[in-house]
Amino acid sequence: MPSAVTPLQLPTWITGASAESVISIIFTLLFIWWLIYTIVAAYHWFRFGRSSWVAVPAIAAHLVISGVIFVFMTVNLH
Amino acid sequence: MEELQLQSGEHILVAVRKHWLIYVGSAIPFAIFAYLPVLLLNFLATSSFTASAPWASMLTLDNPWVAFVLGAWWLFVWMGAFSAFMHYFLDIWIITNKRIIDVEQHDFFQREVTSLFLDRVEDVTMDVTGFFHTLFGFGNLMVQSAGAADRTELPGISNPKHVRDLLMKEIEKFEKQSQHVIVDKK
Repeated sequence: MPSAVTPLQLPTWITGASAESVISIIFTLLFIWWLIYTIVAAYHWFRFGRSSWVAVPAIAAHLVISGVIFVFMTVNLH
Repeated sequence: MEELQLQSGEHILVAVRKHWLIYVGSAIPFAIFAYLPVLLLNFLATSSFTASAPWASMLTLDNPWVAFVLGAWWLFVWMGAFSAFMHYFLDIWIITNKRIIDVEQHDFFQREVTSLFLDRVEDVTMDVTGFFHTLFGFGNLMVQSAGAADRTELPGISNPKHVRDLLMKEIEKFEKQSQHVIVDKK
């Protein structure tokens, strides 16, 4: 006799996760990705474009604009 | 630049990049990508679509979750635009009194440096075609060397006429020097 179909049981760490913790994880992953990108970009600028005056302002602009975007993303989150 | 080691008696005459308008052209898609979600949110806020779909009324910039997703999108768009600028800026052609050095930054960790010696150059062709090219004074420069397949192209450089004249002058100097050497040997 076939057994009754049981509903899918998700792990408790998924069902118990709050929206805040999900956002925290996504934000952390995003920040790590951005950090790696920034380090690689800065390496290229200073390694190959260091004789140019543009290298430092370009990296500074990247940090400032990224900072503004990060603030915009998180300012209203509680 | 560490990858550039000039030879003895070699000096840089000019270093040229693509015209700034080339970067502006490549940045336009990023500007459109950045603006698209704002346009979509404005459309949802003003259209009658929200009446039939109540969830759409939650999609406003006041909603912190919408701001979070939009910020993440903008961050990726910004990184794309910044990478495009980096590739634009790190692509450079250096013309010395002995050779043309073509430095191309294809991608992160993918950089190509090639040299074409002036004594091998057979033909230099300038091409300025198009409204914006003519108006802003940029175009392509094709340098053909002795080998049939050896052709270096400098696309979209600023003031290609000046660069071509400079190259022709240096090639002429080279030819005069080599003629002197032949006469001296006789």
